[in-house]
Amino acid sequence: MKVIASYHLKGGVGKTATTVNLAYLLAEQGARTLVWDLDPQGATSFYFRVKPKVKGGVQGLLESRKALLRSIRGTDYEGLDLLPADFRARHIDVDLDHAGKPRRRVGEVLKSLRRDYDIVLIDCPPSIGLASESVFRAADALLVPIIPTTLSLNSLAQLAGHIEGLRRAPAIWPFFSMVDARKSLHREVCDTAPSLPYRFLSARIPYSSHVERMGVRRAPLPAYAPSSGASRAYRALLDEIIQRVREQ
Amino acid sequence: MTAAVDQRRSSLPPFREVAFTFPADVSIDPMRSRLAELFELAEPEDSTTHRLYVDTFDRRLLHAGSTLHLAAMRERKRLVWSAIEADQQRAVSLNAVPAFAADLDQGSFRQALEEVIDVRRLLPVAEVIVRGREFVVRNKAEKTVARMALETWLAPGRRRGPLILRATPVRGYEKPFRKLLKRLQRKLPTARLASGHPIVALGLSDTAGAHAPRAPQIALDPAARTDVAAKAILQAMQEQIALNEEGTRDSLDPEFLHEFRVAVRRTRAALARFRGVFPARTVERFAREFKWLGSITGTLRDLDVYLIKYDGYVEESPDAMRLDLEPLRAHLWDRQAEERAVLKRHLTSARYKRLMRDWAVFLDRPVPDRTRLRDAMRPIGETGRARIWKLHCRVLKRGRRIGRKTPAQAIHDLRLDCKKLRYMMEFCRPLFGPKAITAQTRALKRLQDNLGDFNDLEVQQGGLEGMARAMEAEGRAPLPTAIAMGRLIEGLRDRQEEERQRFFRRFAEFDTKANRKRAHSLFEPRAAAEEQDA
Repeated sequence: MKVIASYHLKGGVGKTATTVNLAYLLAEQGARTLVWDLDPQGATSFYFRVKPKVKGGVQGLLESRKALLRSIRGTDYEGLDLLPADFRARHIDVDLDHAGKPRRRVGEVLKSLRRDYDIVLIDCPPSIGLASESVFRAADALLVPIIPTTLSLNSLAQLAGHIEGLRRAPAIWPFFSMVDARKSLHREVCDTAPSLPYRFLSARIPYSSHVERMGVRRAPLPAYAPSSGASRAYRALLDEIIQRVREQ
Repeated sequence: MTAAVDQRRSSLPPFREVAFTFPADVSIDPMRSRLAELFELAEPEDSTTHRLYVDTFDRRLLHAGSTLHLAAMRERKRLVWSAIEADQQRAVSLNAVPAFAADLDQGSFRQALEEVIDVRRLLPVAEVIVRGREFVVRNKAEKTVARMALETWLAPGRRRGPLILRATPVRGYEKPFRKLLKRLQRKLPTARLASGHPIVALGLSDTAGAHAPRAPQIALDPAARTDVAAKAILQAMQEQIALNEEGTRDSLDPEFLHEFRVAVRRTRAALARFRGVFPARTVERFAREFKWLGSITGTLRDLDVYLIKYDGYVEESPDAMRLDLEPLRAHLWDRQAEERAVLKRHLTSARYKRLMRDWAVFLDRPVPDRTRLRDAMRPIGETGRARIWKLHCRVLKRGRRIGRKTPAQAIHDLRLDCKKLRYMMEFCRPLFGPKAITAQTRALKRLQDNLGDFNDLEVQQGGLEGMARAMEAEGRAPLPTAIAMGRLIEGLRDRQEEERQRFFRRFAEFDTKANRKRAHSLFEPRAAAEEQDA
């Protein structure tokens, strides 16, 4: 079972759209996929029309396997399940501390599901704390969506610096998200990617009204606009990710 | 996933699909209207699919409690693997049925499938048209909480199956599902819980199972004339050859070729053992022709074996060298395709057809009432024992001569003698008490396993060396590949040496006093006669 987390220090960069769309495409390819919505805002759960509520709260599923298994919800798509968000997850750092061994907890929770899923995608909250560190420890790779601006690159550098200091560090796979080809700044920043010290994925997710409509349709983009440019970009992104996972 | 679809145990709580069937006079449209009255359902989707069910010739998927089919619905095609007794299934989008698991993309689906079917080929089992309507049951948030489907199964040339209503839960929404089931049972009194998979119920799943190779069953009367008994034995082999001929010619699965070759080898062994039973010229001619049949099938079998063993080779190689072996696999695939074409030509040739026709004529011809052939009219009980005894003594003599430095050829010769002995023991098995002959066969088998492994390792080394040279000549062996193959050959040599060390122990286990005594009483002609008199 592979664990991939979608992460960024700030919100609104396309993190949730990435998780939802990649998960849908993975399930379509036959992989048994679980999405864990760790973001208390619950956008992923919203897209999948699942109530953002976990019986007993996040603390319950961190501590009890039974509660964990009871919390998993099937989505509308075959082979794709969701561990929904819970607003109480905003206190997750405290919960983790309570549960003991906070930095290992996410990995341990996922370990108990290794027979049931081929891949787990985690939608992380946009912050750095015990929760994100626990995710970093459990994940094989971090997908980091980057809006092609100088500031975004700076925060990528910050993240990379932070992760380098960890004992067990996941691979960092940044990619450009919400790319507006009409903006010269976007084009310029994208072009600098090969010279940066990160392994950028080469697929670029365009800024697209189709993606924005996910909130209205409450469905993954490839489910309602399979041939749109953005869907194609997500497919290309997934192909690269699969390639890298195989190389790992 | 269940044990069938995934060999490992799941930790998720079970949640199952429930299927109902209806009496024959209930049809799809009235039932659809009835369901629409009972539930708030979205407009049903027409789900008529054309399904091609596939399995290996020995029904590995079915035995593992699952089915695999390619479902074609409008433009969309999917390969669906489902467990029969549970509702779990996994699917991948695909345009055609893969011939082998290895034809699928790398991934968990392929891996799990390989665990069940190994290197077996997927062959069509049944074609059905499933006419159906799918309904989605949603909650207030428009989230799917259960699914229902009405379907009828049609197979060409068979009666239409009953109307089936499937209700499928969505994980995490057990409560609405339970409610739905209760309502269905209350409101549809004619519905009966369905049992088993429709493919089994329609009787479609076991039609082609007859292909499975089986050991020949020969009934022998110890008092029967040797020529009569020998023909019965040879006829059983002929049947085996015929049974596996099509699968071998069309390369349906490596197992067909293997069984075909075993039957040819047994035929040759029987012909050689029953010398003096049939006219010498006839025996010579058929022996020559069956030798030819053995030789034209050998190359392809070797390639099949390399490909079966390929994953093992990769596992034995150091991590860094694993990818370097890929050109070898490509070479093997190319050679296999070439050899399949060559073998197909041979098996459709005039020579092959003539051999099979003449062989059948010979076997069907009744034996002459009187003959001058020395052994033809002796009872099989006598001749069979005498020949087995002779072989048994030869095996002991040859085996005792083998030392630490004996050339591989001498071990190979011993292996062939053991094989001949084993075949004769199997042919004549009905002549002996089952307990004693089983024990004697077991002792021999252990020795044979060791000799077989030793020989396989010898042959593989030679074969890989030859392939390395051929690949180099074709410019298909870059240096890392040549190094990885060299390393592989070294590993095989080490293992062969281990087998040689093991031989002495195995042979000593075969050459025990108890075994010798049992063999003596079973096979030695005078001892056997005395026992019968007593």
